[in-house]
Amino acid sequence: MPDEPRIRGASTWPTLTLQGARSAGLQWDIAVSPSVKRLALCVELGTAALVIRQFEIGGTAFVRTSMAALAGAAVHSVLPVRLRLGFFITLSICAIYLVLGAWAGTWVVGTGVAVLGICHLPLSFRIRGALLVVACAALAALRLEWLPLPFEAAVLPVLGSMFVFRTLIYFYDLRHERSAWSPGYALGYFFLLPNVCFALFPVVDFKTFRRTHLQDDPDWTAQVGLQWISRGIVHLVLYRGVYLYATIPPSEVTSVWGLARFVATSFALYMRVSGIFHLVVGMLHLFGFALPETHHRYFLSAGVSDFWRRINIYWKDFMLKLFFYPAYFRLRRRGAVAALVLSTLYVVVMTWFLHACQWFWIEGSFPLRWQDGVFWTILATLMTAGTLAEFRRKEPRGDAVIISRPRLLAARAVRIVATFVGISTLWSLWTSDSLEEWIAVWSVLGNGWAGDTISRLMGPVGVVIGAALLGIASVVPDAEGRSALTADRHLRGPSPFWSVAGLTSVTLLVLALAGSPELWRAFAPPLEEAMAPLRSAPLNQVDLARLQRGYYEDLMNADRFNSRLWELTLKRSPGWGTTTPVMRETGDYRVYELPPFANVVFKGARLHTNGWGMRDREYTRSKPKGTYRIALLGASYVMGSGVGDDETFEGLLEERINRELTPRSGLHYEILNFAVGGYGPLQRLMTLERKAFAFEPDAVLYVAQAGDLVAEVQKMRLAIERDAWPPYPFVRDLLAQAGIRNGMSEEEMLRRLRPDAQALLSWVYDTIAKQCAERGVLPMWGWLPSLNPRGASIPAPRPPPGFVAMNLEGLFDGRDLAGLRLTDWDFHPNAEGHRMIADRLYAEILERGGIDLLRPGFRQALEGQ
Amino acid sequence: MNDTSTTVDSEIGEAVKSFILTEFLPGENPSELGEDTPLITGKILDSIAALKLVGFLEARFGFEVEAHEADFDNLDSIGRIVRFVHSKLRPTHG
Repeated sequence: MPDEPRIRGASTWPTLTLQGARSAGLQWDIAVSPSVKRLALCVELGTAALVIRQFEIGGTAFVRTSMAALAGAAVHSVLPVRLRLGFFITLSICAIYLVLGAWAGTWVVGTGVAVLGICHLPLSFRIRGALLVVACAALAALRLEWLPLPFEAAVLPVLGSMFVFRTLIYFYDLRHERSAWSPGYALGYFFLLPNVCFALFPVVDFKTFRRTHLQDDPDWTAQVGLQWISRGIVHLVLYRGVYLYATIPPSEVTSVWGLARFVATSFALYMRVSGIFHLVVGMLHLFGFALPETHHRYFLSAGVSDFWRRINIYWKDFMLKLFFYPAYFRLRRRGAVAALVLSTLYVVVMTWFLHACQWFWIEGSFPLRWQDGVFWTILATLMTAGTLAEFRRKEPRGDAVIISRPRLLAARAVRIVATFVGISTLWSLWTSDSLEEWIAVWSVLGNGWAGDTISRLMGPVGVVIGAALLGIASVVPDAEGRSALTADRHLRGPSPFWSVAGLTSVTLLVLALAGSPELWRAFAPPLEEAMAPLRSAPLNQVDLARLQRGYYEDLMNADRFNSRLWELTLKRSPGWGTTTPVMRETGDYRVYELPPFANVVFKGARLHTNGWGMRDREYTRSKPKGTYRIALLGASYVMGSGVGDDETFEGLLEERINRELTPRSGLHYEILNFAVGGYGPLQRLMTLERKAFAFEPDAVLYVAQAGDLVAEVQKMRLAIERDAWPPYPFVRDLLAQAGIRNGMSEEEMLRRLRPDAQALLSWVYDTIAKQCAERGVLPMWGWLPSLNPRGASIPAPRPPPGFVAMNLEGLFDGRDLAGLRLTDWDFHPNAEGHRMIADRLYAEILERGGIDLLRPGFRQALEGQ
Repeated sequence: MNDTSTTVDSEIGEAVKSFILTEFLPGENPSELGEDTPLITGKILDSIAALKLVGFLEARFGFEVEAHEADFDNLDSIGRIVRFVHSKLRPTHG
């Protein structure tokens, strides 16, 4: 072996010369002093910091932490070796306090030290293990809220991501490790920088963590770290591109091309995880931890076993160490084949289980879904077959298998494509919101030639094809190439410093230029608009649709790991928006309604209902003399989700009308709020018929919004599940024609109802207009713009005939929408938003006549004209 | 280390090298596989290959490997494997 260019130890760093490198048969390098290398590293660190800020990589917490970490890395590089580990631990713990604050940070650090203390108690291994289980159970009880939380909700996910898997590894190593315990490495291992920013974190192995610390020239290690950081940023920017511009909501998959896009992007979104892992491990390199790579060209996997080895290498190593090897060594007396099969199955089952555990600590629930079962069963079967096939044959290992003949290269390419298609297919199943939804998406393959029943079989057919492709790629032997030890860069030693530094600098520079809005404005203004979302990473159409549908409440799919929405919802307090304590079942198509005398905290605000189940003050059923009544129909915006009882636009408008119009008209005005969160047009109609007309309204104000069809379908699905169909023959016929039936996913219902949406809405408006006419009630129609970007750009439809229209379109134009929403993840209007709606509605009333509009004889006068 | 143990180590090393070349590096030039060539980090030994190697060591040298011993420390290079075999063959002195 030639001499390696890396220099072990930190005290003597001789310089490589060009001649020396050449004579050693290595790549090009130049003579340079360590101080110049450090200067180059500092420039790269600065550029990396700039890029992370420009693209807001990893969210606000990570941007702040990474600024501290990158500055810390520069300091670290000049510290004496003996101080470096201590410096890293201090920085890691400071990051915890920086992100979580003093109280929560102390809980995290204190709990971590306690766990570490239990591991080292002078008791038998079994007793210490039992104590760890007890500690884990206590924390689980807190996570389930069986015990009152003494700290903020954010602490437990952080504790879970820091301690669950690492404690298992640490305890295992403690049992088998021969070397002396090091408190420094133990603390550094558990409080790893920048774990506090990411719920998903690579499962770093303790022995590897310890072994690789300062094993190489620290400058070289730092340079590799910067290379990985830049690679991680590239992954994350590409992920944003796919997330924003390539993903497609299942309800919009109407062609084979749409299906292919849906399937491929579901797997491509995994770049978010690989990007974060590259960033994390790259950052650890800056502090001397020469850890191995976490992912290795996983889109180029050839077969399931190969995929398993490439996609999350740390997880694979963790499973090997703690589950596969112990199981295999215990079982091998039964024969190698039986041991392999059982151990592989055990690993897959444990992977499934541990993923669910991970989710438990992050979200507080334990997801068990059909998609998981199907995905892991197929993967287990194929992995077992692939493992057996590999065990039985001899084939060259490593990356550097030389395949020179075109036929063999083609075979390899086919394997890679088959694996990509197969994995993407299974991945799309695994990450779908529901099994029904996924099956419905595949039914587009039957469009135009197959009936409904056959089309529904396309989903299972897709699974079979995906699994078959993977199976072929997994069990068919690889190309008969020759191993190539000399061609493998891993075996030659690392690339020279300046090659890597040059590539990294260019990558970071390109990213910095791409992330500069000034540059785009100056040289390519049309592209500036396209680049902006890559920097700010807004929610995409799929997540906005989920948000619109309230899916953030139970994002249980595996895609949560790839979703910006999931990232946002992690910030919300437990139970945010849960409707269960607020609503009661109706037993009819409305599904639920507000109960009388409710007094709850809903989305962080106090919500009271009156004795009639309205989110409003008390009213008598019969209209008092000299009173003008308006019945208000709508959904969550109108109900006032997330604002206090005295902050809803209904209350503000009522108060203002009475204050300003009563002195002129002599009438008292009442606006009765019959709105219920999540109600669609049909539920509003039913509310009018079953509740509102009984209160003798003079006018009905129906508030329409962009998401009304989605709301209708959501309720429709729930109602049909309860066998509660709409009580209107016209609507039932329309649903029958569209093929709506029980068990259908919302996405499928939406897709089928879209063509008839206008007919449905028109019928609702006609019915309301007719019923109002029969009672001499004035029908009014209001259009309320959405604060959800998905709905905000939808223009107001034409007002329905026979209604007095109040179009609030453009109400929020020119305003910072974030300042009008409840939170980052909940787009309902806050108090300021409600005030704006009330003001604009009041202006609309004045424009349409003011006290002349709001008087009992207005409708009759209108009809007389 | 005396001459006898050096000879034994050399025999162990040759046996291991021969096995690795035959099983995992077919067609490779034997001189490229050195005592320090990284086997696990160099991706020559994956999980299945490591199990094959362990099976070979147990059969050839007559000892039993435990699960936690099939790791980087003991298997990442021929040198490490030789030291591991040596430690397993040498009776522990308490």
